Amino acid sequence: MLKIKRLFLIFTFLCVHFSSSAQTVVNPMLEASLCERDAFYAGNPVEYNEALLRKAEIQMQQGLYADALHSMERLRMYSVPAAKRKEIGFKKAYAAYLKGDYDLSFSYLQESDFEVPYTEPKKKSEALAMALTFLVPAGFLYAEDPAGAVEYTALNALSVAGIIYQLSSKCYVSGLLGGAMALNLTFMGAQEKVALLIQKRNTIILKESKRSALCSFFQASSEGRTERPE
Amino acid sequence: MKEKGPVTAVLATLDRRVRDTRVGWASCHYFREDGRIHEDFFGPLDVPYHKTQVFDFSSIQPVEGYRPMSEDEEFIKYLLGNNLSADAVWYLHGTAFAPSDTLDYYKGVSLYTAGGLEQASASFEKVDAQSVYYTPSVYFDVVCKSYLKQYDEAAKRLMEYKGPDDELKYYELAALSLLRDDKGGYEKYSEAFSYSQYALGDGEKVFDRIYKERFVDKGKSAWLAAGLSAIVPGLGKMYVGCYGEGAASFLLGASFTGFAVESWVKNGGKDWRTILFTAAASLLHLSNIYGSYISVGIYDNYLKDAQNQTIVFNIHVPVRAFFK
Repeated sequence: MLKIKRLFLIFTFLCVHFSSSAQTVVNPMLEASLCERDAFYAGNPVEYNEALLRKAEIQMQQGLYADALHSMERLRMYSVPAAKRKEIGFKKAYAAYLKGDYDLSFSYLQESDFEVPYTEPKKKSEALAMALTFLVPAGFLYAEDPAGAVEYTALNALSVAGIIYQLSSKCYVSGLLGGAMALNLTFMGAQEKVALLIQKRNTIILKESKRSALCSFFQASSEGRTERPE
Repeated sequence: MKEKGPVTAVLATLDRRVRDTRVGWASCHYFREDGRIHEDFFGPLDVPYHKTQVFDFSSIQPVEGYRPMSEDEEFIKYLLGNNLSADAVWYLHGTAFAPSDTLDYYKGVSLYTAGGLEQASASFEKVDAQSVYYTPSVYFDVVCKSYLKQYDEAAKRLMEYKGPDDELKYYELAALSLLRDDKGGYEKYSEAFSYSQYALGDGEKVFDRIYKERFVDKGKSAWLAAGLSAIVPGLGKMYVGCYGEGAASFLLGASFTGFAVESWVKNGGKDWRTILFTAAASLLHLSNIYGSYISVGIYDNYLKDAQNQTIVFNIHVPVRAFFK
């Protein structure tokens, strides 16, 4: 009799384990939507926040950083204890960092009183670059584009040679008007190109320096070298 | 080059270079938000009206036992109303709700809002004609099909619609007739326009304007544009309405002609510079004539594309207003 009871118990356990209602959710997106349902039916703001944080966690694991950030931004912060607010601020900053929005990440960290060591890199001046381009290769060398320096020096030399040749042949219309058109392309074009190169370079180094500072901060936090909310 | 041959390719490329100058861009009416021209020889490149995506439900295992959809209707409405339609999609497909028209309708709406238009259309088609969700399903299906550029299927769906013959139905049929370039169809269905319903009045006026532009007003002639450019460089482009392009063509064409004439006078007809400038001026002139000729087609196609986008938008707006 005892044996039958034991077998019945095992059978019941297996039935429960393999029944459809007890199966675990395999799709993370579905799991996230179930968290959203928990938030919708939550009885109080604390339960609501817990459900949304679970959802954000799933979205982070799926690489949906923008969605995770959006979920965390919907938290009812007034019901979050002061000690936990810092942790949430950190998580938001991390999600923003992974999303690629470094300015937002910085602002979340500042909002939560974290100090990120960051010094803005020295930017190159567009005005100086354009002034240097009056001597065409100098501007390109300042913009660190030696190939551009060679290309535009050759093009300007050709334009000037053309102008001199036409003027010496007393062809003033093509010498002056054509020369102006050619120089507009080669000389003014060089100015414009150098300004664009500097602008592009400045944007890249600024973004990279912010990324690098945040990367070091989050890495140090994960290794416990800086303050990290538990 | 492969499609049109080397001569056309050279002329079109040269014309494109002139159009793409600073002066050429002035007063440009074409849509170039990224600073590039998105067109082939005869008009804009085909761009979808709506970003679509396909949801993969293969890994979904419905959780919890069968239960009626009505239990969660409020939650689904909350998701749809709060820009969380992707959550609604996954929730509706992952929960073992008892099959019903309500479920198919909400699956369709959530997929439609999340951009899964093909799948949304399939869900709307499942809704039975006896259901209270039948009418909105038909209209939302028409919107999905219009965004997917399946105009014939959308019109067929409306023709087979068993609901009341109200103004909205004829409004949508008239819009679909415009999208299919069916002049007679538009004239027939637009007779039902009252211009007084708040959700339809503006759209009806827009459709009438597009109908007038497309079928009543006299279009521009490509041959006249080419002829005008042959007489004065750039004049054909100005006739089409591309004033910047016309000015750029005129300035370049006139300059090179001036160089050629000067060189002819000073150096003679056999001088290499005369030959070079004459060749350049001739090539520019020919490319301008060719460019003016095709600019009518390009203009018409841009206009038609913009009109079609407006029509599809106006198909969608009242449906959202009627069936919130």
